[in-house]
Amino acid sequence: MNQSYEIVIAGFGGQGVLSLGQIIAYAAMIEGKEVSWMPSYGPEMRGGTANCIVIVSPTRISSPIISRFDSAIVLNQPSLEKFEPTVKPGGFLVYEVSTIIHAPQRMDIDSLPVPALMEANKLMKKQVANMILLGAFLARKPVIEVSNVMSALAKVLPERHHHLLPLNEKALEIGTALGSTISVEQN
Amino acid sequence: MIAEGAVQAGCRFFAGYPITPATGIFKGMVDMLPAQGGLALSAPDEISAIAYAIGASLRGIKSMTATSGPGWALMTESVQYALMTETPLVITLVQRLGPSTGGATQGAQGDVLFAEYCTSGGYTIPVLCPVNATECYTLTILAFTWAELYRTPVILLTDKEIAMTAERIDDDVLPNMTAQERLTSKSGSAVGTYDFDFPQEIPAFRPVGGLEKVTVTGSAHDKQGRLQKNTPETLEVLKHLEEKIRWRENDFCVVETDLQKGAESLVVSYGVTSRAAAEAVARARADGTKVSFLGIKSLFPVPRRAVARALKGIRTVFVAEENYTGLYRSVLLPLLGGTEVRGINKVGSMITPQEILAALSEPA
Repeated sequence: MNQSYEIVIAGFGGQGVLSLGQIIAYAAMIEGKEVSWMPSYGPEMRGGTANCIVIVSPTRISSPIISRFDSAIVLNQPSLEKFEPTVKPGGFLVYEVSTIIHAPQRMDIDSLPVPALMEANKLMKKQVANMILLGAFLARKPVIEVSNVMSALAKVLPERHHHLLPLNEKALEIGTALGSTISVEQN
Repeated sequence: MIAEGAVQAGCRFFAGYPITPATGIFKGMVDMLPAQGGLALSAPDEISAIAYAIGASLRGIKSMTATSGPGWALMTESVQYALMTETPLVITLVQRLGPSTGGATQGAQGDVLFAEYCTSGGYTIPVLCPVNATECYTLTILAFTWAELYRTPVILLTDKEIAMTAERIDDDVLPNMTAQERLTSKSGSAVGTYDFDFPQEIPAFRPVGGLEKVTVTGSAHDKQGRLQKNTPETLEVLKHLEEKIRWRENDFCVVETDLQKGAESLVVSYGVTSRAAAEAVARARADGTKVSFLGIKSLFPVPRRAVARALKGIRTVFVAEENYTGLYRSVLLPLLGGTEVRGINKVGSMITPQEILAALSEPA
C-alpha cells in the first residue's frame, strides 16, 4: 500500500460502527502505518446515526476530514443513501443487506451485499455483525492483515468482554469466507 | 494526550464536570492522577470545578480543569477571579457547536473570542490551539509553563475533532519536555502577595497555608492583596495585570509558517482547520499556484510579528475557520493593512481541503 486509504463506516449507534473503525485503526497501527480515526455521532448513544472516518496511510496524515472515500462500510439504509455518492469512482461499498430496501445504484463502484446480521444471529450474538462485515471487507480490500484484527480487537474491547473474543474471531472468519464467495453486484 | 501532557507538566490536581467532548480529558485525569499522588475530583458543576482547581493552585499545586462551551459559560466568572488573583491555572476548552448547548457531538471553532474576551476589561489571556494529538501533548506542557511563569490562567483551546479523533503517535519522538515549576517567594522574605516594582514584573508566588499571611481577593486590591478601591496602587495592579503579558507578547509566539517566494496569496488558519488548509496549500502548489501558509497556535496574544512577516508581498489573505462570523479574521483585520481579506467559513462540519482549494481559486 503506497497510498493512503480512506474508509467511511456508517450505521445506527449500537451497531458497532465506531468500534469497527477503531479496530481497523488499531490493526493498521500495529502494522506501523499512520492512522486517523474520527468519530461523528448524534446526541443519542444508541439508535441515532453514527459514522467514523478511518484513514490508513504510509505517510503522515494531514487532514482527518475528507469528502470522498475509497471504501464505505454501511450498516443501514440512511447511511447508504448518505454515503453511496461519496465513494470514489472505482471504489468499494460493502453493506449489511437485511435493513436495505433500496440497493445501491452506482455503476462505477463495486457493491458487496453481506447478510451479516443473519449470520450473526446464527451465532446467537447479533453484536458480531460488524465483525462479519469487516471480514467481508478485508477479503476484498486487504488494507490490514486479518491476523492483526484480533490483537486490535483485544485493545478495543473492554476487558470484561474478553470472553467474547473467540466468538468475534469466528465471526471474522465467517465474514472473510462470505466476502470471497459472494459476487459483487453488477448494476 | 492533553491529560498525558498535563501529568508530564506536573499537574497534580484536576476537577471537572463531565461534558462532551471534553469528558475524555476528565477520564484521563481520573485514570492517571492517583498513581502520581495527585487528585482528580468530580465536581457537582462547572462553577465548582474551576473554583476547586483555583483553590488547589493557590495552595501551590499545578491544576487544570476542562470543559466545553456551555460549561465555559459558567466558568467565566472564576476565570476572571484566577486572572485577578494571578493564580496559575490551565483550562482546556474543547469547542463544540454553539450557541448555548448547541451540538454536543459536533465540532466548531466558535469560542475563540468568547474564550479570550471573557473578562470585564478585556485583559489578555494566553490561548494555545493545538492541531493534532502530538500538539495536544506539547502545547499542554507549554500552557503549564506559561501559567507558572506569568501567573495567569492559560486557555488550551481545542475542539471536538482534535479531542476525539484518535491518531497514531510515536512516543519515541515526543519531545522530552518539562514545564516550569512554581516560582515561589522565599519563606520569611518580606514580600507581599503581589510584590512588584514595575508593572511588567511577575510577583513571586506565595502559597496559601504557609507561614506567611496571604490575602487573596477578586476585588480590586493593592500589592498586599488587600481590598482597596481607586488608590493609585490599586490602579497600578490593574495595569500590571495586562502589562505583564503585553510587555512579553513576543515570547508567546507559536506558529507554523510555510511561506513561498513570490506568493501573492496567504492562507491563515488554526486548530483542526489549519490541517485542511495546509493540505489545500500543498495541493495548490502541486498545481503550480504560488501560495503561502500561516498556521497560528498561539492565538492570543496575537503573534503580530509572525503575521507581519508572512504578509510580505501578499495581496490576498484567506482566513479559514469553522464559524459563521469570522472570529479570528476580525482579530487579524487591523493587522492586515491594505490586503484583500477573505473568510473561508462554515459551521456544522469541518472545512475540507477541497473547499479551501475552491475558495483559493475563486476570482476576485
